Amino acid sequence: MPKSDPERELPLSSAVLHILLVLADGERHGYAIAQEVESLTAGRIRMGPGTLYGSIQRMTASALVERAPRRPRADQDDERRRYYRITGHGQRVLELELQRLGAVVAIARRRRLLRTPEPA
Amino acid sequence: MTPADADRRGARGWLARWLVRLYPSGFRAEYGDELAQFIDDRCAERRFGTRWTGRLALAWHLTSDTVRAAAREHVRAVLNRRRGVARATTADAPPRENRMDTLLQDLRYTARTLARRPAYALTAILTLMLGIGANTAIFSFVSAVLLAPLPYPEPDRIVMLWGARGSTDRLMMSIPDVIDLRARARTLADVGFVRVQSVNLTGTGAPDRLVGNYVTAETMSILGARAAMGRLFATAETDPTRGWGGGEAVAVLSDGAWRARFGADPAIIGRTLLLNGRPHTVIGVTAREFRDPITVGVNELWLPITSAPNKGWFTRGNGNVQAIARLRAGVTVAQVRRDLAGVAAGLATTYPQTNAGAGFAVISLRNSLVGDVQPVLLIVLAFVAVVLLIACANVANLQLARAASRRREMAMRAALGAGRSRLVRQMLTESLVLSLAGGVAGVAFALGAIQVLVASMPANLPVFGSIGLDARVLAYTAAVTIASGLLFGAVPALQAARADLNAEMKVRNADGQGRAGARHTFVAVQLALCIVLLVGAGLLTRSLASLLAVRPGFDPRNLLTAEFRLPSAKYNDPARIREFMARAVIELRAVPGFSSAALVTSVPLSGNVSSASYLTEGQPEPTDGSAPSMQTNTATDGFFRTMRIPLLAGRDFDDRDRADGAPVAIVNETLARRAWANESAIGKRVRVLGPDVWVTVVGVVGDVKQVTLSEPPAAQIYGPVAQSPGIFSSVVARTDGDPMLLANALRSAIWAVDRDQPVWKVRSLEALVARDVAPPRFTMALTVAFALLSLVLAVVGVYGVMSFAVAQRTREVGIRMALGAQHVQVIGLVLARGLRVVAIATVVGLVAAFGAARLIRGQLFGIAPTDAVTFVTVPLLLGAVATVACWLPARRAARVDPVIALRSE
Repeated sequence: MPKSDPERELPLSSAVLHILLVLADGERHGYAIAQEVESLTAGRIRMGPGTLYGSIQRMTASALVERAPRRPRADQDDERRRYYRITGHGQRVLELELQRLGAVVAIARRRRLLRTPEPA
Repeated sequence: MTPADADRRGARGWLARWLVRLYPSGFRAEYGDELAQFIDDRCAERRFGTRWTGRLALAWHLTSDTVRAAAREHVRAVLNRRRGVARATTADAPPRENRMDTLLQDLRYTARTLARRPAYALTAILTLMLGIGANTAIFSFVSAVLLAPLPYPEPDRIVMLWGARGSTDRLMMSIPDVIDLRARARTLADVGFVRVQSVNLTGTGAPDRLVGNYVTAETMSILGARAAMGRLFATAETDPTRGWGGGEAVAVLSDGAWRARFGADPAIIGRTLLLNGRPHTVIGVTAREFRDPITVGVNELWLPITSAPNKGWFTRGNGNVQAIARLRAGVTVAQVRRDLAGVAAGLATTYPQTNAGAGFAVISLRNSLVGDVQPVLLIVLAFVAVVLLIACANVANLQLARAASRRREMAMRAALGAGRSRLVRQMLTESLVLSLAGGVAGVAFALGAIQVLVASMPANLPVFGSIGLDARVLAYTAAVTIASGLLFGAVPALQAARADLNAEMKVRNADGQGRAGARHTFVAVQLALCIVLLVGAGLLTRSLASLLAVRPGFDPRNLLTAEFRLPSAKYNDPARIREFMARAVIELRAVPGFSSAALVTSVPLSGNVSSASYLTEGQPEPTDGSAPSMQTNTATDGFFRTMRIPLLAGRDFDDRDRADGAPVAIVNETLARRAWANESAIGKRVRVLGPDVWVTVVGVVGDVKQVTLSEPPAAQIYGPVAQSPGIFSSVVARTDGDPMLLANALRSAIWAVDRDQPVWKVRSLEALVARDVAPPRFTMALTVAFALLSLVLAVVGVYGVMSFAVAQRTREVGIRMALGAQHVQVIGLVLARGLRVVAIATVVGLVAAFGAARLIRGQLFGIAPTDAVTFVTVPLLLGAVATVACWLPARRAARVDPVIALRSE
């Protein structure tokens, strides 16, 4: 697996960022990822199957995520489902991206470009 | 597990299978199963609902996602292959300029090829222009009528309420019933009264008539009306429980009436208008953008229901109003129906005489507006969609023909290093450029077509949005354009990809069988689709013909009609009404140019009709409201003679039928037959329920179509005006020449009796008949136009393919002729090939048409959807035209000079 410098992956596309956000919380199968992204963003991001697996393919290739070796709760699962989890490299990239976004937001706040107040 | 295993599974297997297949094989091997599972899961989600709109949204979501992702994966796969297997799994995005370069190269190349064959490009673009333009034009109607949101707050919660009895709904309700309904219904947040009727406006110059609506304050608030000046009604001002004349004498004008009738008078508020002879104070003018849904913006005046023209409106059992209601939040129409059924049952128990068997009909606002036109619009939309399919098949065939002559070019490019995908992409680029050009031309075509359609559309189309090219229509056009490009570009592109390059370079001028097969398939599909459209248009034409052949029961030529309503404030007792009517008849008959004239309450096909239940003597009175129903009307003597309605037995009304004379009636043939079968009706007695009077039949006349030409024969009864004088009346007058030339003479005759009496709807009976058949005529005209367009496209397709086939076989024909084949044999050879395709297409098309015809069953009058005449004529017509299209190239083949044919190699 080619593991490159995490900085080279930035900035992340919206789909990749959200998939990483969800997988950071634990392993999921594809449909569950899409569902959770949608609920996290209050329906603003509705990923279709193609968008999702296209992203997963790219993320697998650049070792941001990997296939989980086992399948939890095998009794309830459709055998077609496969689970994905975030890699250490993926964690690292996600952190860097979130720091980058945080910095951008901080600048925006300082320049009063962002209306909403900082959360208490 | 292989993707193939996964493909076979899943409840929505076909969709998943089809979508997954669009991805490149590598991606499919890796993620095919999961994609199929995901699609299954998404299909199972509840949020899309089970309605067709939900399904459509779901299908769109999945398809657009797949097309985008699959396209990306294909590009990636191609690029990866080019870079070598070693890097095939890297996920780096391809360098951007590379993709752009390819696209620009493809576009430049396309421009050059198309410019080199302008006739080909022009034919394709014109064909697409017709297809896409027709779709754009028709969709702009669909969009404005069916899709544009209704301009009212939460329109989905607004319903129209009507009375219902047996299988008839859309009956008027009596005011007391609606008052009770309003008090008892638990599912309705608000109920407003509605009754559209002409209102006399006097005291402002010539007597005039306004289109009025008798309402309550709730009607306006349900519709979210706003006053631009002054204010709207307060609830107490229109409260129907205060009885007739019990509300305030106030009025609200529409913006249009304020401008057109009162010159946008800024001091209009507070002005007193004499409406129906009673002074009313103008309290407000509605906002300019407000259009009422009941008349679709025609309404000029709102009056409190308490200002009704007649006290009789407030009697239970007298149907005079409809209602509009807002559902309580979260309540469904089905719940409202159950709720109101309970209310109706309660009323039937309390007032069995008037309310037994009576119910309420609940119709959503959208449905009550577009219920009639929706199926027609969808039929026409389906027609243009099929026309576009035929156009696409034509262009695909053009491309295939060209591809055949471009195989060497393709082979050359391949030899110089173009990958297969690059060739496919080049072909697709050409297709898309053609379809985009066709789309742009189509939009221009649609702009003109829309104007023509708007000018000729029937007046009953409920248009709230504006008909034109808005964002929704253009998005539809764009989608249709791209879909067309992919559709007609797919087969040629795939064939280009499959081409065996080596073979192509060596072998010259042999048309591959596969390609000829594809071309014939396209032609067959075109012809079959064309048959479906021709059958549809044929059925609608035959249906219109049988509608036009309906005899209305009177002679509409040279007949002039008009309407007026006497103000009840002024004509407050029957004697005065009777006197007015008698004098009006005298004045009308004195008009030079009127050979006869009479008064009648409801002129046939004018939209006016009333009905009542009846019993004949000796018949027991049913307690469940199941007494038979008849159309009731009143007329003066001379009405039947003027209309040329035949008097079959007995006599017309005459001087004996005075107010104090014995109550008499004239019945129509159907009523006489239903009531007294084989006996003479003359002298028999009928009991008219409601007013509950016995009348004696003195005459029998022919049946008349009262509401519409397509109605089944109805029982009809006429009473003499003198015995039941009403304030509303119509004039009929037979003229010697063009009736409309005497419109002013008619008005003057009425004004000679009362110079303040407004007269309106002065029109010819022929115009009323034409209005009745206008909607089916419009549908027929559109479908026939599109069917003929499809015929032209299909025939051009046949001709093109046959010509091409002949050109390809020049050598073969030359050899045959050199060996002694006769002209006839050559013609037969070519013709046989073409006609086989035509025959197969005809059979397939007829079967499809047989199924499709049932979809338009609701629009057919007087013929079955399996109408033999149509199903025989259409294949004969198509067969004849297609034979000519095959014969012309065949004849050319027979003229081939063998020497030249052989040399051409």
